Amino acid sequence: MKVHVEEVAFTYGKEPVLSGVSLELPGGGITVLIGPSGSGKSTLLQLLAGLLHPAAGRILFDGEEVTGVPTERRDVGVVFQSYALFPHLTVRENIAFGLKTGRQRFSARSSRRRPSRHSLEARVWDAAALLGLERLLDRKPSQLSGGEQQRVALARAVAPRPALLLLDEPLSALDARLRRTVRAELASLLRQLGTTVFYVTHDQEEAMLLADHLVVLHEGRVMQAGSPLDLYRRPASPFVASFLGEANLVAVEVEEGGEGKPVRTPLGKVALPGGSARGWLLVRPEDVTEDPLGAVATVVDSRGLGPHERVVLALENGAELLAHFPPDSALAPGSKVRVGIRGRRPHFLAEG
Amino acid sequence: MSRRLGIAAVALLALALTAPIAITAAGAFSRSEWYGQRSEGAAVQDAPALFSYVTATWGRALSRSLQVVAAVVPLALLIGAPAAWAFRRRPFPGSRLLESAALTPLAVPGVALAFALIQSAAGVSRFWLLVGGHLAYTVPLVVKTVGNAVETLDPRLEPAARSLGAGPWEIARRVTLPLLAPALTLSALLVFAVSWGEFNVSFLLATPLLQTFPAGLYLAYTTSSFPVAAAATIVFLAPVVPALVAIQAFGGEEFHRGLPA
Repeated sequence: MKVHVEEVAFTYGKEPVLSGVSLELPGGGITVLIGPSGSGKSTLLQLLAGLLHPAAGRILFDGEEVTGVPTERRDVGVVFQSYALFPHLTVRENIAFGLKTGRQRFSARSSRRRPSRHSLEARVWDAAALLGLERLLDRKPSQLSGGEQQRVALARAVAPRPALLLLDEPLSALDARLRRTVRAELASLLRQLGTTVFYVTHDQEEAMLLADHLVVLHEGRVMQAGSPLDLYRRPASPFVASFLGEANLVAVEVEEGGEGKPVRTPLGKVALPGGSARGWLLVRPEDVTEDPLGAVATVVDSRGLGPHERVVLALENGAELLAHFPPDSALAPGSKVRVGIRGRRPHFLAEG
Repeated sequence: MSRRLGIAAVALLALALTAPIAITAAGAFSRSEWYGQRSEGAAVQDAPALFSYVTATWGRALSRSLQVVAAVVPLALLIGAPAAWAFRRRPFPGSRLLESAALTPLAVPGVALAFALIQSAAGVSRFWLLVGGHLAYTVPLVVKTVGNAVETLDPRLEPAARSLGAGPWEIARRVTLPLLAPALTLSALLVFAVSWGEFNVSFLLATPLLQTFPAGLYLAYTTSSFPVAAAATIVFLAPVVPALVAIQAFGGEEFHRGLPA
């Protein structure tokens, strides 16, 4: 199912939470909405779910307007941050909950009436098997670990086979180590489902791993949308650049009459796109390389993180530069290195 | 040392609470002569006769009490539980004040409440005045008990149920009510215990034909012999003690809710 959000606005009291938000969720793909806390991402998810209704704008499911349709009549499944499992029901009953409701689906392709008893059991079993919960079906939620609860929440949401699956920071309640394993499993599971997925997170790694389509939200506005790697490599603003990973933003200015000529920067000469006057070069730490012909820099700090050596450098103009060097290339603080930019074609962000 | 002190304190408390009941029970099952008085005539010779005398004499009061309780328990729940839910889940301007106000009848003397009821609701029958008086004392208990339970419910359960296609009634039936069941049972038992034993309002609103059992008990103590009054007390306590035991059980259950079954 394709989802369109058109110029949606939402206010909480007098505070604007979302303003003029437009986006498109490609059918069958995973759209990840990323933003810092307070950016309005959970609100947007609740608008798609129909748990909240926008002050202005429209929401379309496959071209049909659903803006005023309540949750129970939308063809959606929701996984909440806190899971919200029914504590008085077993895992089996939790998963079956959505298969027994008198849901009058809005979606045109609602061939799914209430399933018969036999198929109900089969569908509970299918959902449980998909998430490896077969042996936990008779447990109560309080008897499950955090990771298991998360899987039950997902099984419960997908059992009715919703056309749109909404996940609100589903991994944030897990500890860091578990989150990493579950993240990878979740990515393959969501692709396997083939449902249109809308996934909200503030975790950049999670976003990069899961997203087919990435949307960055900041202060209630969409900053940029596109493929995750594209946003990482070619962000449109310093905010997006530094929100999606670590970034060195090197300020550059084109002298008058110097348009089109390579510009001198603290990291050597760089050719800029014509017409631009002032802005920043985006240099990701992994793009900084040791270069015998490069600029001289002083090592401020060098720390081995395992996968790479995290090095803080000071350039001759005093600007700090963060670099990721290959592992085991520890540098003594105070020593000098010559550095350049890998490929010598950094992304340029025009100011304004 | 402190452990022994604790045991001693508990034993003393238990003695203080149960001794009157034990003495009353002993009185009820003993012969009148042992107390050096015979006031009820020759018919009352042994314990069974005493009990049948009590139920015959206060039968009307007993059935009156049962009628009042039968009206008060469901009404208190029907008024108190939705109010408690609304106070916690759908707060509106002034709802906090109203919630506190709902508890004030607990601090009003029964006498004052009874007079207020007689003054303000002149056309209402005595029975419903009595029910009203009992509701003033019992609805606050329901609001408090159910309100605390509502507070412990995950506010995300309702949206979760909605996203799974459940409408408001279905959510009440399949999620909210089952989760509130222990609190609702507990408040029903509390309401029963309070209404069954309520004296102040009942006594003041009583007419010769409309007398609840506690009001009848008072008469028994003032006019009858000790064995008769004691027997009446035992009849009175018969349903209360199981109710109090059940309150303990359900009060404990409250804390176990959500834990392994």
